[in-house]
Amino acid sequence: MSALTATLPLETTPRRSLEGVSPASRAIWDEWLKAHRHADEPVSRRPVWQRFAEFAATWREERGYTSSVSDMVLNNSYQKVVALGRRAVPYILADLMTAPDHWFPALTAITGVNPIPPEAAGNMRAMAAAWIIWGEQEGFLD
Amino acid sequence: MSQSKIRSQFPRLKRTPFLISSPETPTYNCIAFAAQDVQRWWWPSPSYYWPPNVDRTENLQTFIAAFATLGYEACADGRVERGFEKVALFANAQGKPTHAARQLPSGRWTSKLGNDEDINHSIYGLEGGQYGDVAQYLKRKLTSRSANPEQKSA
Repeated sequence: MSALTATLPLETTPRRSLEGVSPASRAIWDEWLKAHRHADEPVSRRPVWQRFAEFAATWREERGYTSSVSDMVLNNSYQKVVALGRRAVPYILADLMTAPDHWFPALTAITGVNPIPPEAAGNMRAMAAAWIIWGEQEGFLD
Repeated sequence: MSQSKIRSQFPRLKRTPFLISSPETPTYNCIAFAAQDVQRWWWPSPSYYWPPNVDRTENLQTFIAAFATLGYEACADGRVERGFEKVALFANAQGKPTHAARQLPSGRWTSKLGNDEDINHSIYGLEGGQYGDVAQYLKRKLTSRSANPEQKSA
């Protein structure tokens, strides 16, 4: 039970005694339950790791077969990852440790730095490695 | 990715044969593959590989300039020409470059699909889908270094 529902007075919490209630009352009861569920687990209160995983999966699906880095970065789900801010950095770095992917512009947008050396340009593994080393040095991978 | 997934993005591949010719890999992209480089992702974005001294503006002219550093020049079509190898640059309806394919000696073409596989296909098969249409054909003379267009590395 969330802090919000825990503070609700007992008499306002939904009850299961529905015998004899009208369809309209039942609909209101259903809406009341839905409101409680939303109070417990709204989108904005889902953990960052879960939101990152969902946005990343949607991004990978929606980018299709593009080679365009700018198209990948402008994707709505990619921008949602950027909007998660520094809280997303450990999950992005963990994702890069699994396999290189195009998280480099997101990491630069979030952190304001770019640890990729010029000689690593375009080398996906070397680019990922540069960010992972940076993450370790900055304490994102403790 | 499955063949059906590829066909969903490129509807003409439902009517013309294509072969998947490599495993999926994020290591290189279509532009690099057309340039016979399977070690890097080529794109004119910061931190990605782009030939030195070529403008990083994302338009057809800069992509033509990138291939010019490898000896390519504009040509009229994608017909097989003895002694030459060809590249097709694709662009979307806004003229923005989307893809590059490389011609094989047989006259068919080979492409890397984003982060996924390489395929062997016809130009017709790849047009009209996610990549738009061919905006420019390029060609260069075959040299001993580039005599085997089936090779992958530059």
